[in-house]
Amino acid sequence: MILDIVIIVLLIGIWLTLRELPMILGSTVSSGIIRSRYIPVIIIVSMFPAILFNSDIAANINTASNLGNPVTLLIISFAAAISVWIVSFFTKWTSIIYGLLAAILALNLYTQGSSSHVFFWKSSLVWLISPGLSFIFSILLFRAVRQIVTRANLHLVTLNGILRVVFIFSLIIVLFSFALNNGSLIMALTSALNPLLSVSIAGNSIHGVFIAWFLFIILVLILYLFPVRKIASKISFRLFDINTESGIVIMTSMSLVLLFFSSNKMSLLIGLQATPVSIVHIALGAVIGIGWIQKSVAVDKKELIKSALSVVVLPGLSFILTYSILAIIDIQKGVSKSNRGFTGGELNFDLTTLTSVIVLAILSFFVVYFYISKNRASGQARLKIAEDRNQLNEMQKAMVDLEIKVIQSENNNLHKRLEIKRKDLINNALWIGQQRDFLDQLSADIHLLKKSENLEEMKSRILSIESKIMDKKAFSHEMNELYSQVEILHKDYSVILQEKFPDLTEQERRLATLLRLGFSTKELASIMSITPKSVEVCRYRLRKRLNLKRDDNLIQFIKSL
Amino acid sequence: MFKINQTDQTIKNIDKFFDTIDRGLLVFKEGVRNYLYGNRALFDENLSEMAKLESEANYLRREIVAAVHTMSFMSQMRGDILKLFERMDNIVDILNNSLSQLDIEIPHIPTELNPEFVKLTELSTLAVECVIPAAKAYFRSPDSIPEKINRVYFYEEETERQSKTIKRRVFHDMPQLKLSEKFHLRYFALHIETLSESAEKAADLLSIMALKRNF
Repeated sequence: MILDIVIIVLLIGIWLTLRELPMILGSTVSSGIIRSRYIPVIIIVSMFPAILFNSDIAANINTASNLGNPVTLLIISFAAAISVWIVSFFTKWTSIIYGLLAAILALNLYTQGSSSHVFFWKSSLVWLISPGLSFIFSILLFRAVRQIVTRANLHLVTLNGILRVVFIFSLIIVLFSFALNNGSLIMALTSALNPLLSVSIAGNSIHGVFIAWFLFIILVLILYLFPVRKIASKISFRLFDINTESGIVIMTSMSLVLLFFSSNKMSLLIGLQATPVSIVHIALGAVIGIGWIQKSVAVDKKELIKSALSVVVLPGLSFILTYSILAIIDIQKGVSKSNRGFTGGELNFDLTTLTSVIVLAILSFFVVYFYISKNRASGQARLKIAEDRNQLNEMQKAMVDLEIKVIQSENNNLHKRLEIKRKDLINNALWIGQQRDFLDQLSADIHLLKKSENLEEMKSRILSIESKIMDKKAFSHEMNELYSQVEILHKDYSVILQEKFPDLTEQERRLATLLRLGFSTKELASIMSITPKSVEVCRYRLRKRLNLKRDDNLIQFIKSL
Repeated sequence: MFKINQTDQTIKNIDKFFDTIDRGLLVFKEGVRNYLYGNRALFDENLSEMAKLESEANYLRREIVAAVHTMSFMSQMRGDILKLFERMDNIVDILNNSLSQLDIEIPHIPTELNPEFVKLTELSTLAVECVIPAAKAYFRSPDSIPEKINRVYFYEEETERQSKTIKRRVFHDMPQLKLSEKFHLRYFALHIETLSESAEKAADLLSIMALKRNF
């Protein structure tokens, strides 16, 4: 029996904690008012006492249906949990409450036929009204808080202190309301097992409901320490990026709605009765209310529509699932109808129902699979777009790198040219200096020659002058400079010539270089200080060295290198 | 958990911080006047008093920052509040630096410019004087901030105009001054003008903070 309670608490408690609790703690996380280490203490203090209050909701549920059988309780819990799990693929903003009540309705319909289901229709009405009520409460409270804060004219630090206290109390109240309203489902489902389970400690008997409640609180604490805190901080960024005052307003609105629908007396004022309501939807109602006043609703419309649809889809799914399971496991249907409840026993499998359930399950599976694969496909498409964009960026980067390289090489080229020009300038300056020195020397020699009277001496001086002029004509230095400059400018050509024809002499290489530059034979003779005939001989030798045939053009060949 | 004593202490510290800036402004005005009219001994007194006020403001700011963090101040406002204190503290730093630079660099200010510099100082300090009530109002009545900061913008513009007048006079009507002296004077006019600019920055921040506080 204890195992049944554990399973029921686990199935319901996990979904209640994962879906509803983060909505309560969202504004706490975003406001940063309470340190996270204090929150478990607040959870225990505020939620545990709810068991001591008589729950109208649990009484209503137990009156509306017969939940005495552990097997049916397990079926209801299981069907609701599975339904929430399936709907969670579509939206996270949903609640197990819808699934549970629909599952209980399915049980009722199955066992009692067309008997009265007023409780369930009123519950549906409450689910529709509660977000709207929360919306209205949040607007009214927001205006009231704004008025109070403005009129109080308190120092911000004092106000902060007061708001902190109010915030903590609001959190305690909303957690208590959550335990009283939503927690009543656990009370309702486990109270049926009360007579079956009772533990005696020190002479005092503890009923099953207390054990279930204790397990539920432990589960909430465990889940808070692991996923709930993360979910709450995620939600806080999406929904509760608001100030402390708004946080208080949201929590108070939620508390009011929860408390209102936790009491039959209160609910009767509008002709309804105590019903568990979804924290998710009343929180959304309050957030939209505040957003409406501030003219900035920060809720994703698509998510909101999905969440609203879940109010219909989830109960429907849970209803079908429960009814089908009950039909498959046909537990002495006749007996149960007359006795308003099963007592457990032999199982009669109905083949038609089994087939339809399998078909439904397969259909549901395909719907879920299609949705997941569609999501995955869109994710992959997004990834592909991102990859393409990345590739494009890389290509652009490569282009930019290439441009940089081109600019760098151009810069290098310009630097080289500049260097050559600079060298030219220095050489020209040196050359002018040298020429001036030479002419000075020549002028001095001629002056001495004019003064000389001895014919022999004159002859020797004239010879000396002639030899100096001949030396100068050789232009050895300038020629070397010319060749070195040509080599710098045509660096690749020089390297290729050296690689292809390593046996060429220095003079032959120079001739090839000058031919490449387009000098005529006459010019070459002048530059190389040889006769035009010698140039022709040199050309002939060069052709042989380059292994050219008679028809081959020497200049074209050299230029093609 | 609720730290009521700390709340009172923080309120006191905040008020004290703004009072320190207020006193700093008075000392600065007096210091500039004493420098301009050659009351060196009094100027030295102003200088030492200003240094004390600056260290006091720094200490108070640190205390307030620590309190804001430990008291889990409203997370949406925490950043803005800390920035406001930083900007206000910057004003005290400017006051102290301007006075100590007068002490170190001893700029030559022609006597005919004395009234102009006094006026510039007055206008500049007025801009800061107007930002202090606005900053105080943020903590009590944020609705009144806009009307208070309008004055800051007005005095900031006036300061700028006065500063330009001084610069124009220095560069156009005073050929007897060396270029280095002209630069020096322009630099000091600019320094005093910075004070109103920092007040304007604080006012800009306050106007945004006021909007945010109207939740």
